[in-house]
Amino acid sequence: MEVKTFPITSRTNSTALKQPKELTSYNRTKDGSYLMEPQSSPSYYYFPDAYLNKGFNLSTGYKSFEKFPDTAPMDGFLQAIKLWEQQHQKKIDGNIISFRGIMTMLVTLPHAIDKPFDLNVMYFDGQIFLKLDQQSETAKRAQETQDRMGGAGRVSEEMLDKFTYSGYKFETLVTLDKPWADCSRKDIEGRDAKVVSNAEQYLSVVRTGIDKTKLILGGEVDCVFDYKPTVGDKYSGKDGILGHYVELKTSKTIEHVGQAINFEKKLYRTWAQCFLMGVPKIFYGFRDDNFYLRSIEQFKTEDVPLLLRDSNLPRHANNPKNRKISCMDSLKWFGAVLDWLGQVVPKSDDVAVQTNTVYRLSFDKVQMKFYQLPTEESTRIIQEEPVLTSEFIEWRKQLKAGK
Amino acid sequence: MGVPAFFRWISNKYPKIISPVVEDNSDFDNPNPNGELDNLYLDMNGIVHPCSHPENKPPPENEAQMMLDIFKYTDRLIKMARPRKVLMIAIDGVAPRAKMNQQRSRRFRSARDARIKKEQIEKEMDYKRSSEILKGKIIDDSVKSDHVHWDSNAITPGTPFMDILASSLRYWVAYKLSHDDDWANLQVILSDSSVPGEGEHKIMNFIRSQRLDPQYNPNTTHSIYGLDADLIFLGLATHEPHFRILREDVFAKFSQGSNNRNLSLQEQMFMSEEEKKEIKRKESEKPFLWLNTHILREYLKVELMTGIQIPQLHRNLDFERCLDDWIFLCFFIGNDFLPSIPSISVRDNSIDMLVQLWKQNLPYLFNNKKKFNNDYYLTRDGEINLPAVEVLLKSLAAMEDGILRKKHSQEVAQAEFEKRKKVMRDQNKNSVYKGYKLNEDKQFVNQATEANQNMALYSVSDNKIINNVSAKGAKDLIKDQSIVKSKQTLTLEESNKKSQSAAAALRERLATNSKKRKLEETETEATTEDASEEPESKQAAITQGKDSYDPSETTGDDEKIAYEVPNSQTGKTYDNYDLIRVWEPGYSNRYYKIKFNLVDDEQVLPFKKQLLYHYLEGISWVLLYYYQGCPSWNWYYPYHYAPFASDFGCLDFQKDVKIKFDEGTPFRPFEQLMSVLPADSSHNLPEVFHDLMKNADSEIIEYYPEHFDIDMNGSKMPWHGVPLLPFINEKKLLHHVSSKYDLLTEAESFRNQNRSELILISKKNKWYKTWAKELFEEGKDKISFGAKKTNISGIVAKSPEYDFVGSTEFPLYENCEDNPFPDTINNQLFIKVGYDFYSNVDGKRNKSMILNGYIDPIQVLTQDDKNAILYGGQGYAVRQKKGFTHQQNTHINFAITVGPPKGKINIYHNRPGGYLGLLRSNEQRQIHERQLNSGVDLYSQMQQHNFQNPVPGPGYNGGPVHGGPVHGGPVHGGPGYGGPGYGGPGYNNFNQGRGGFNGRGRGNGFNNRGRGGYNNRGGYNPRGRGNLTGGPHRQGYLPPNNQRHF
Repeated sequence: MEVKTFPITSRTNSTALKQPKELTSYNRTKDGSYLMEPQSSPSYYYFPDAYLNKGFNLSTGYKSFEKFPDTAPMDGFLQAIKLWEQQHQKKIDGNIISFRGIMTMLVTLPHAIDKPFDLNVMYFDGQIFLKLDQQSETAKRAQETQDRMGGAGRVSEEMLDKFTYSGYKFETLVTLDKPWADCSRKDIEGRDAKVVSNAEQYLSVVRTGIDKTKLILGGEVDCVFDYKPTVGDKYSGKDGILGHYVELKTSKTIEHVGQAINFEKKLYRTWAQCFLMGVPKIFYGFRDDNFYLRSIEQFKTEDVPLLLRDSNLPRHANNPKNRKISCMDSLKWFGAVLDWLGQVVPKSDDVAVQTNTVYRLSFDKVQMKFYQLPTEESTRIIQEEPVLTSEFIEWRKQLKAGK
Repeated sequence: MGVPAFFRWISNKYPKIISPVVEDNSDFDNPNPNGELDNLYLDMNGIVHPCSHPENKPPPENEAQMMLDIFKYTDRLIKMARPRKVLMIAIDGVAPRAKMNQQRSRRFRSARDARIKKEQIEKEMDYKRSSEILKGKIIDDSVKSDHVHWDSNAITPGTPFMDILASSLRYWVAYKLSHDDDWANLQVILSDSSVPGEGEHKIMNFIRSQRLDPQYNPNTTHSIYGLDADLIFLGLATHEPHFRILREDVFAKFSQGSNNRNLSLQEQMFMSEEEKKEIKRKESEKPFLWLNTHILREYLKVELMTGIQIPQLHRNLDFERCLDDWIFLCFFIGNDFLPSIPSISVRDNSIDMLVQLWKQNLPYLFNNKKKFNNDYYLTRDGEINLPAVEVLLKSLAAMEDGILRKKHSQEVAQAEFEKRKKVMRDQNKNSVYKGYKLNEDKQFVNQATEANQNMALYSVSDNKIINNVSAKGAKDLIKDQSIVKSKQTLTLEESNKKSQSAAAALRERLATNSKKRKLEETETEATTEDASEEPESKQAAITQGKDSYDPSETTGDDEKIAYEVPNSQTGKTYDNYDLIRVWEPGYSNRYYKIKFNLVDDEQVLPFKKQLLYHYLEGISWVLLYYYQGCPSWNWYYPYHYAPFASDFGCLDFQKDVKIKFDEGTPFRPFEQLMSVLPADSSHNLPEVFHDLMKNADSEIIEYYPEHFDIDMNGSKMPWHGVPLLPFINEKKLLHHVSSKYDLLTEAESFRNQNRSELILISKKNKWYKTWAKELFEEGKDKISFGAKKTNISGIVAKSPEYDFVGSTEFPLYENCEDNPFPDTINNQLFIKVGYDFYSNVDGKRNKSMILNGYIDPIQVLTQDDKNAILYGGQGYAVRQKKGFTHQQNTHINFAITVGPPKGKINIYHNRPGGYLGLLRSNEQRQIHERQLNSGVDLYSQMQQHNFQNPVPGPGYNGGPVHGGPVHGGPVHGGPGYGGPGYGGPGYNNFNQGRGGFNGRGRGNGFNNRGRGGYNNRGGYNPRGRGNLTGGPHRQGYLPPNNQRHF
């Protein structure tokens, strides 16, 4: 097994960025099925300033949380791509196809060198498909939970669950299923009593790019701020669909500098997330230790790099964890690592080889590694957590044959 | 509502809501000195009336001149307001039936006044003529009498005058769009009198429709021009906080010594040309002012949301809902659709009283919300919460006796005082004839008392009693010599007794009345002309119908049954209010019997219930009208009088009241004219209708009485009187009117149609090309669009009135000698299309909520202002003050308080607990430390600045070094204030005085914040911040040199 490595100190010189553009969108429903365009619909942000005085608690309803396993299967995403390709009668134009979350991990790696990960990679039909390895991800999360529950400053499992819950609760609290004008007062005022579920998602499929690499990304979008423009309607604005999206986040209240420095790291990850998808607005809900929502702050994605660069919070200079965050530097790394990946993936012409070979891209706290997985492991992955669906493979074959 | 009274009350109580309009003649595109304005709405009736029949200057020579005056006035308004996006010009169209009753009263009365004025003029002319002839001059009276008599009733939809007005405005807008670069990007919505609905309500419909469009900019700044006090409520009811009302400063003094009084008729008629010019010049310089509803909202937030003791309630209190309840309470003070409850009036600070009641009841409603439709407000998005309203009305009822008694004793005391004053004055003046005078005075006092006590009996004429009593009854009564005689010799005590006996006599007559009814009906043939000359011979003429009210009859009947108005109209003004003796028990019964001609006590209760039901229906109608648009075009309140609050006790709201409205359709213009115009104004209608109004044989002649009584109903103000006009039976009227439709000419038929709004844009507008191409080249029927790019949303469609390749002609050739406008305008210089904004609504309900993305403007009120509201002061004990002027507020730069603060993007106020909040306070601290280290003597300077706020509040625990309650605090902090706007001139200053005080530390954090906008941006909160800034270094401090005053 030949392992190729890539040091995390690598950087490109240029960071030519492409403006992200939405290609299509889809919903994942409560029962795990998908709604493709034009049935797909986002949520809408509505939470006026005065509502912050009402003292909402983000743990309310925790007991009735409808929790679905937090995996990211490729099927809906690939289905949406297929649909787009059917409509446009051409292959989607991108070198790498992946969920946005994976790209976020890559972008923010320079400031998360203590966090290893494992990705499964397939090369198919001229494109690279990436997916998180669920097995190692699950193990990693279990370990994290263990760590937090033990040792100093430990928290109970219930607390951990509440932390998770409060994020979804916040989303439920501040968004509406329909535009405000179409909602009844009851819809709006009854949100605190609504059952929170993490199953329903709205996802956008976006084309973007850095340097020479073109990316097709799928990612969840929390809500729309005002409205979603209709493609081709000259009256609803040229700023595109992505310009109306909002990313929602929660954080513990910030009361001292240490927390602020931690928050900056969080904000940095959020920035990467939004930057990749071209989401321009970030709303952070701050909850206190008792989960009361205390404040909401609004950030412009494009302002975050400046905010982080100009942050003059007092830091301990000798603690590398606390060093100032440079978003620009992260992008240079990101460009470099994608470029390397493009080169390092073997490009076989044989479709049978393509669809049966799984590679591993991983980070081990020191460097990036790339290698081909043994057949046994490949088979497990293809069967249990496939990177490509057979439907998609079939479709691409058809598309090729059609041409 | 009494316009000057309410306006005076509100601007006195909340002084900072008024700001002067800055009128500078700099370029239209320059920054607006009044703060930027997106949309300007003109309630044109506020312009048409003063321009066509001005009160204190000579009237225009002819209708063309009126139009030119209207153009000029409108132009001035637009120049001073400088709207950037939308201009909506709305003229009253056909009104809902509920409004028509008031219009009818006004128009009948103005016809009556005109008749009186005409007589007066003739007298003047005769006098003048004879004197001029003596001097050897000849005067041309034909012109003068002609224009003095201009019938203001022509300002009603469907008249030829309104038609001229509509075409003139269309021409003028087209002219401005094609010739005036200032208008290049303005989108002009024209809603003339052919579009049904009252002007201001059509404007509200537009605003509401726009709010429903998700593309609508929630920070749009609005301004509406108009004098009506209603606009204040309408403005607040939109829940668009960036809203200002533009109005003339009616309290402004004319410059240079001249006074502001209205000119007498004589002066107007015989004014020299120079005088006329001078007056015109002064008119054109009349100052304007803004009424800033965003500041009114600040005040009301304090007024309504402070002092709620239950924490749970306090933090759940939704200001927008409180505001709606406040508006609802104000409806009781007066509105155009219902008479107001006798115990409530703006002059008696009734609003304060109602607000107190509301606040007192709130905790009860909150704790028992299950009983109140799971709510604790009186209203919800325009729907009344009946059980909650019941609670309020019933607690008002408990106070009513006291209010009425107090009011009465005040009136008595006032009357006594006036009398004494007069006596004193007369004595001083005529001290020479002291002895003689005294005697006379005594007599005078007696007479005055008598008049006061028995006004109803004597105020009319010497030998008759007008009391809604049938003439037959009256005749009988007059025969009662004791009463007639009593007039000459009454003493105070006697008069009291007499009035009681008179009332008794009255009851007796009334009792016999109904028995005699049958007889009378046969006698009822005498005409009204007779009546005016010989009151005694006047026939009874209680219109045929029911004796009393049967509740079962009204529900289900498609035609509403109005209570009968006696036709025994003598055309006189009287007042029988004192007969009711509201200060003595049993007044409610007396009220119904006297005002509604009820005979026995048994009749009162069922009648009362019916009336109460209609009244509740009425307040529901009004509320919906304000919040959702007209709920029914045909509904109206079928009585001339309101109930007492105490009467509501006899109705079980839950059981007896089910309110539902049938939308119906608006009247057509001629139908409305026939409903509201008196026969004297028939010239405004096509010939074919004249007979219906004038011919004694007309089957609907009873709707056009030449003479009618006016009941002063206890008021001294002539315009408060209630004209007792018969209510119109819609079915009957429409039947007779529509039977003539076949006889109308084509032009007349055209005038009789209801149409929809138009929108006009200039060729320079960025959408011109697209619209021209899509509609006139590609032949699309309509285009629908959202507001993102165009700033308006809805559907535009080709209008039959506009030919893209044609031209628009100047409509005022006649009487317009030196036409300042081009004769024709090429239609391609602009586009005029039909506009439908109702398409946005499409069954959606308007919700009283702040829209997503809305950003609060800079707050204006200081702690002092708030204290004045909370703890009272002399400032707003409103009495009719002579020479009242509102506070000038010249020290505040209002322009920067308009719209969201410049550069602010954050929709949230800065609160403790967030990252940006922490950064901001860190920044403050660093500045502070720098200042300290550089040796600036902060402490002493701070002391100087702290004068506004000498007492640290309970929550304040600032460090000793920086002393005193810190200024304004981090106030200007927060991400949102970042950018250029933050720290702008005086920003900090606004908040000065709130530092540290405010009871911020009181209670737990939630309560603290629950107080609403006024302290939440402060961010000074010992809980959240203490650790960070470490005690003494409070973030709130801004170095003194940053304190700018303006």
